[in-house]
Amino acid sequence: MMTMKHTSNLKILLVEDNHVIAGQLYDYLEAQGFIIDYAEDGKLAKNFLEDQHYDVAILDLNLPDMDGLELCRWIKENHATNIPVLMLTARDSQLDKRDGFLAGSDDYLTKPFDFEEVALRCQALARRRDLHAENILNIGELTLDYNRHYVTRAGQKLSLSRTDFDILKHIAQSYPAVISRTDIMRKVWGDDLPDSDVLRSHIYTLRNALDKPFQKPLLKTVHGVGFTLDVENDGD
Amino acid sequence: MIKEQSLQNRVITFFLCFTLFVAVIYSLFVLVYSWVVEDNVFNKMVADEVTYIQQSFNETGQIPRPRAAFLNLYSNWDELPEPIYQQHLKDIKRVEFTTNDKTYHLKEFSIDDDSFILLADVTAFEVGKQYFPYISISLIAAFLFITFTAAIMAVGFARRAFDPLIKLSDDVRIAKKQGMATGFHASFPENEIGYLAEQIEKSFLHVQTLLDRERDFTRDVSHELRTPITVLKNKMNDLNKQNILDHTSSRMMNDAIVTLESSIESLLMFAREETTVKEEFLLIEELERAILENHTLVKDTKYEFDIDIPANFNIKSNKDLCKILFRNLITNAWHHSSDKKCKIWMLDPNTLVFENKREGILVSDVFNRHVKGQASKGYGIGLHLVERICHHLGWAVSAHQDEETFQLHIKL
Repeated sequence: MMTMKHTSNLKILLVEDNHVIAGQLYDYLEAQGFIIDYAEDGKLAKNFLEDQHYDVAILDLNLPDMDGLELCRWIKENHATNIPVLMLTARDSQLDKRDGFLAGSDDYLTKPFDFEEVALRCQALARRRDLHAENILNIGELTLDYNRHYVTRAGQKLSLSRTDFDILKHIAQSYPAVISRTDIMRKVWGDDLPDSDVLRSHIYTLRNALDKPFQKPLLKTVHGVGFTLDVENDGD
Repeated sequence: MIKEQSLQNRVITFFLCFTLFVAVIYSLFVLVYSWVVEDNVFNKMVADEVTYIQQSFNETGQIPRPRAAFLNLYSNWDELPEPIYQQHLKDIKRVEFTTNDKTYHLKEFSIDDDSFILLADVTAFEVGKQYFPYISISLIAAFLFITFTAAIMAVGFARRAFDPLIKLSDDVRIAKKQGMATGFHASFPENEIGYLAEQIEKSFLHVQTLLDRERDFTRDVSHELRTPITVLKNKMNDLNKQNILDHTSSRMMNDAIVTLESSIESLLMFAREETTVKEEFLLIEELERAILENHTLVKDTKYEFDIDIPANFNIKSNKDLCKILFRNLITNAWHHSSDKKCKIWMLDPNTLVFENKREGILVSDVFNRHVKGQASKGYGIGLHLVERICHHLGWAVSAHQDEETFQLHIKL
């Protein structure tokens, strides 16, 4: 069973040759409760990776002794645990991004970035990896069993249609990030997108099942264009 | 598409059509010529008999009978068979008549002021009609032979003439995908095609060098400038959280960082070749992404977007430029709207509208750099960049405002 890992449980390897950025990011992530190891070059990073287990590796592309892409490929080819890699770089052209993803990068963030966004992406990457291995997802009071299409909130079983379950699953899997309406429609209905009223209708029935019997709503609309779970409000 | 319009196919088609045209014209000419010759032979036979009759009359004072059974002499037009007479009345110059599957030739002549008509029934001598089926078969056979020979010649000639050009076209197409190596032109003959290949190679490699230089330059600029901006930006966040700087200093530094960030982004974007590549994508998907990827905006939970665009509405444009455009428009609406709402809708199938409530005095020249509303929290760069991107994408952009509402129209 997979439960939401708190940031304090996440172990991050930060590989960055720029000491100033590395120092700032290290301080920020550590203050957020992450456990950080820092490597300023590829060789040191490999040593860390061979000795330790990490939930996420943050890689800069410009390293003094090797290309960040090379290190990324090495991680993907040599580590059975499949550590998610977040590329952190100033290279933002399509070609650079394509090279990054081809090398096995799981996410790509271009400078200048907010440290808070780095932290959120690390959480999302760690969760995404765990989702591949687990069939049960717990977020706050919410529990989803993918195999049995079974959902409970605060221990109470919720009756959801197949489509409503799929929609909730994708919203929960994206948490804490917000998933857009179109992304949900693509994931549930494929490329042949239905009219937006169809999603609106399913969100209505989902809210009735997920939020109506409870004091505080869990399903949250963000800016009218996306959805997430309001776990902080839930059960507080 | 290229295959359908290829020069080789066009030359073969033209050659074949011309051959068909010439063969048909010559066949018709042969048939017409044979008929004309035959008619003239008949006319000559009748004229010879008339001469004979006139000479006999001059020698004997008697009008002799025509020497052949198929010839008949008449002293009046109305003595002729009725159908011939009727046709003569309609066209008095006519000398050839056809009636009841018989063909007649006649000639009118005078002897001592008396008119006579010599009528020849030439039906039995019309070899043209008799041989027509055989001639037709011969002509068709010759026609097919000539056409087939012409087709073979056309294909052979077109191949010899165009194969090097087709090879050049195919190799350039491959080089477009896989890159061109030095010595590309060596496999072409030393003629006009070889010269063309050499010039294409030079131009291609020159452009490739320029693109490599552009990529290296933008990559270096991106790395060397964005790294310190990241440091500055996050240091500013720290300083703001700790309230170390006074409001004016903080504002000034934030302004400088945003200006730097925006300038670098726009300069790099316009310098890159890849921003000219177009692809088709869902408009609403990119708008939603631009909203949800704005990390700071997402935290402002009270701000609402009302997007009224069909879910399947596609546009074809450069996706990266559109991302930056939408991000700027959304950030702009967020900074400027007075009621924490932005409506995005289609005025018509080609006009995208961003609408938000505004307050304060009307601002003119909103697209000028550093021009912004009185109550704006922004830096006055967004719309300037929006106009530049729209111009780059070939879209017209215009601002419409009154006391309460600000609308930005983009003609897609």
